[in-house]
Amino acid sequence: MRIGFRLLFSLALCGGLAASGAQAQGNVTDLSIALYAANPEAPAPPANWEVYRIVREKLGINLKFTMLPTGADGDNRLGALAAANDLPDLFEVRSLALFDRLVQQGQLAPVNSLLSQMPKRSAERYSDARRNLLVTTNGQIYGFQEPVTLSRQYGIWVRKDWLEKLGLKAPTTLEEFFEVAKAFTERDPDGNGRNDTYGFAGVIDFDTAGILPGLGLGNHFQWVYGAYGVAGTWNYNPKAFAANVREANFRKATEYIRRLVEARVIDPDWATMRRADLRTRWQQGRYGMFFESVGGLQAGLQNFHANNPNAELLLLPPPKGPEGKSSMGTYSSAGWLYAVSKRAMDTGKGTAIARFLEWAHSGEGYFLLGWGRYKTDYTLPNNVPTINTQIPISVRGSYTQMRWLAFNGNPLEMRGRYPEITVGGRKYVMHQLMAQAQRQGNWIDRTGDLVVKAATNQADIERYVSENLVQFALGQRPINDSSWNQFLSGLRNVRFEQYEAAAEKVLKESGYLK
Amino acid sequence: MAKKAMSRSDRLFEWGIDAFLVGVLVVTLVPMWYVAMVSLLPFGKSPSLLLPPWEWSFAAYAQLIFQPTIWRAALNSLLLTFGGVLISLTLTVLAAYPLSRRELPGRGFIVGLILFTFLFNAGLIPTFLVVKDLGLLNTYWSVLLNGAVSVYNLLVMKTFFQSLPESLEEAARIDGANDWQVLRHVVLPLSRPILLTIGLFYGVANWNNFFEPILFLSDRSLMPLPVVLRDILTGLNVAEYVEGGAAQAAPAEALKMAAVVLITLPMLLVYPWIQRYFTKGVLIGSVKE
Amino acid sequence: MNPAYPSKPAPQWRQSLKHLARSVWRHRVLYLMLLPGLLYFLIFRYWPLWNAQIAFRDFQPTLGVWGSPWVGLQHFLEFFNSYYFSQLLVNTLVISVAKIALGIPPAILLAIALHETSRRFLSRAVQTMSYLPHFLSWVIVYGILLAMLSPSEGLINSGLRALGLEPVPFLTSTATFQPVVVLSEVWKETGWSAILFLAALLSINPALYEAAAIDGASRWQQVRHISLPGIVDVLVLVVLLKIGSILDAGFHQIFVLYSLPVYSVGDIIDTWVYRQGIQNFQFSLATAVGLFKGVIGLVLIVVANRLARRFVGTGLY
Repeated sequence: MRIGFRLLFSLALCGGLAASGAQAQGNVTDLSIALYAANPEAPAPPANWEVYRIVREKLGINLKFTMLPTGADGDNRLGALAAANDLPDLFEVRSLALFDRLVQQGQLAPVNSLLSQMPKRSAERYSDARRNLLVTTNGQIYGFQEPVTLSRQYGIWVRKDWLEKLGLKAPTTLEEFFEVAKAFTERDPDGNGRNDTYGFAGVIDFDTAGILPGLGLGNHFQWVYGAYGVAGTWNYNPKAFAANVREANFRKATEYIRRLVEARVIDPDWATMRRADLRTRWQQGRYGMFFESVGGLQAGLQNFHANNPNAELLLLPPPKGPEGKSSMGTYSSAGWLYAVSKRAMDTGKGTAIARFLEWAHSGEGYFLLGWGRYKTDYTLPNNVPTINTQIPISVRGSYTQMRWLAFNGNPLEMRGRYPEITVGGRKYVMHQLMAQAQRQGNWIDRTGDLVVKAATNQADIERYVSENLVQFALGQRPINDSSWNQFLSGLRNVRFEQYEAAAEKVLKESGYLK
Repeated sequence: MAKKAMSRSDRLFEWGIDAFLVGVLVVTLVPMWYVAMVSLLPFGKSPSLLLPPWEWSFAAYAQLIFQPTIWRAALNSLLLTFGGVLISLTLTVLAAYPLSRRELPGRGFIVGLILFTFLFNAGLIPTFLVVKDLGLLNTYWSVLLNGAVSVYNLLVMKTFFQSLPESLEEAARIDGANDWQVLRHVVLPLSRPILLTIGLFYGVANWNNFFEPILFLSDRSLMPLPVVLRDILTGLNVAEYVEGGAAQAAPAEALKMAAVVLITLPMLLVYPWIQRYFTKGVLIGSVKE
Repeated sequence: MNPAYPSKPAPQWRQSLKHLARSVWRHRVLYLMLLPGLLYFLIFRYWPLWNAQIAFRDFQPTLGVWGSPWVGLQHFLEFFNSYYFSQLLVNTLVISVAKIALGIPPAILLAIALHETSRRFLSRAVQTMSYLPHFLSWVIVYGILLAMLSPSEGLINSGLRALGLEPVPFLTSTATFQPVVVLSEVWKETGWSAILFLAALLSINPALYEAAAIDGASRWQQVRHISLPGIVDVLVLVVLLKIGSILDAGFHQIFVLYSLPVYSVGDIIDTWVYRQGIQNFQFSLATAVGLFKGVIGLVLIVVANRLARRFVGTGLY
């Protein structure tokens, strides 16, 4: 009886009918969703969030939303749930290694059958065969691979007021960068008489939000490797394919970072700081230059200007290396990835998932999840949704923790999310800054990285490379021919050649390496 | 010691001993004092051991105290601490008393069974799987039950029960009391100090527990104070615990150290009252049957 | 038992069984009391032992413990052959041994000082304060260490800077991480470990000291010839037991203190198991390593206990 009803319902949905009336009669599906915090600055939505009620009444779904912490802690949490065979019904995966393992272990369900149940969403988001290939194993699609919504929004920001005060020009090369960083550290740019400023800060961060960290020191230092032409994990050289770490320039870039560290122009806590620390500190006016996303900047401007009344920021183009190369980093043209657990599919929750995702794609669901509470969190001047920057992100953010399920990245949306704001007497046109970050960053498209399956000992490989590079950068090990060669030959111990060979093979097969 | 005229070497000896003790006191206290000083640091000042009181700023405390997430975590911590003590103490007493009765058939075997778990641990993952199979993940039962009985505390309790004079129990039994009544009306009233000591051991362990909540709980709203503190210290999700999204009124270090102080404070407040019971517990534990 | 009378012992055997049954029945209330605790140990301590078989299987969460395929010793071999095996073992042992070697002498010294001082107030104050760190969570101690050691604002680095020296990133430098681990443990636990030694000192017959004093022995000589011999038994016991748990280098401590730059010196068996199992989802491999550690630990502690019984006349159990 119940099964028959459900079948009928899903047929109705396939026909594109709005079948909400029948829902209210008590056939409610429990649906657990786990997503990484879209706004780490804000807590999870409150228990009385109206979305819970609306989703129950209109979609017949009892929504249980879990917010995963960003970074490794979130990956761990998912891993623990996977170990328990207790994965949420629908969840976000950011670690490709985890994704591959879950597919292997049979914990994920193919989502091919769901695509037809959410026609609008599928057509606009999941119809690109090449992108779907990224999450396909044995002909089955194991996840909803979103098109990218916000890539390449990162950059190095420089305190223009400090530059002016010290009579310096914005740096354009690595050498100039070094000199400016040194001046910011040593010449007391904030004029408080204390030696409490640093030229630059970035942290070791492997977040994959619109940027690909690659093997090594992560997102915030890719620009150095970019200046030497070795950003990203692989060199994509069809004649001599190899990991960039083997390139001579890779060592030079690492040496440059070491120079910054040894000259004490980087915050000495950089190797253990997290992004939240970085944000607190640039907002407190500790840094002359720092690595930050446009979104992160927007979230912190209020505090920044309250703490530093006369400050002004400038977005720096990636500094050029000795051969004139430059790049802020690598990115992929694929966005978030959502997976459905096998258990959810086996217990017949597939239709509910499709129903919910389709609801989130447009109309009421889109606005509720993506923008929050109407007239509180956002307004609709001229029918363009625009966030209300009067309300701090730490409050507003709670109501949009699921926004990535809704957002599609069209220009109108960008305009609304990154509006023109005035903080501390200065005007920021956020969407223009976003466009500027994307344009001037010389970003390198490395979507191919995503087809390379994680090695069985991926964690060992990543640890080996990162750990050694950190030690080189921190000056704990000398960088010379013998130590560097020792590092490179040690790659054999973590079976790096096999990983490299597998990568070359799959990149050639998928046409990313030509 | 006989208080006669001390030789020079003895005076030197005493002087050295006292200097050492003062040294221990300084080494123990200075770090804690410095934490307090950093937590009171205003903007634009360098932390120092002797920050004058007129420069103290309580802004960091204000930012933390008005954050509901902190209070929720405090509530969680209290729940875990007191709930844990109740469960642990009950289980421990109920197991320790029968095992303290030498004439109980199979006693040696059961003690051996329990002792073996003290010597050999199956490890993290197998235990995790048990908690998961019981369906306790992401509930407080996982944290409360998994570490409910400590073999050490159980044996200390058992040793204590054994040290009670048997004549009292005999007398009660002759008066017709059954084992249950003996435990309730004879043994427990005599065991107040050990119950307090073991209860405090459990309480402190629960209050300080951060790893099991991290391992077993996934809901952030369930996390107790030590987990919150770890997040604040390592810069994870800080904004969730700090008013206003980021530090506006207090330097980042002050915020971190204010969190340390706030979370240590409850322990510091009760510590002087409970301190002597702990020493007793260790000493009972070191006495063999 | 006498084989010449095969049928005879039966009644006696039956009688003793009957006796046992009667005795068990008489103690039924006690068994009932034991039940919850026993269930606890069966569920939370023995069931995991059963689950530990996944060390010999390729555990798949969807198939469960019993359904996953057997792979024999594959995971053990993988660990022994892994690049990080020797590093983990060395780190674990070095940190553990250093904690024993550097932890016990201050505890003895403190116990003797507390015992010898004639200033009651000082003695009370030191006892109260030096036990305190034992009751602080490692997370709190981490906060204290940050305040002391941070390269940007830490007290010690401020001192170094004032002396014109370069600041040292104590928590992220491979050269200083192990000392920080060991010394922070010493800071946290010295007071607490002194209790046992102090108890041993207090149990020494005071007449011995009086006699020595009359014989003209100096205070130092009394310590050397009365106090120190008086705590040797406790010392041997403590050392043996610490050796018995030498593979426990302090998981909770290192879990909060370590970071990527110091993995090479800070990673111990337990942290590796946590990362492999919970972060990298290698459940079987992590279980195998945990089991390896458990077995070695069992052997060590049994041997240590034997030795303790032989040399001190008392063991842990």
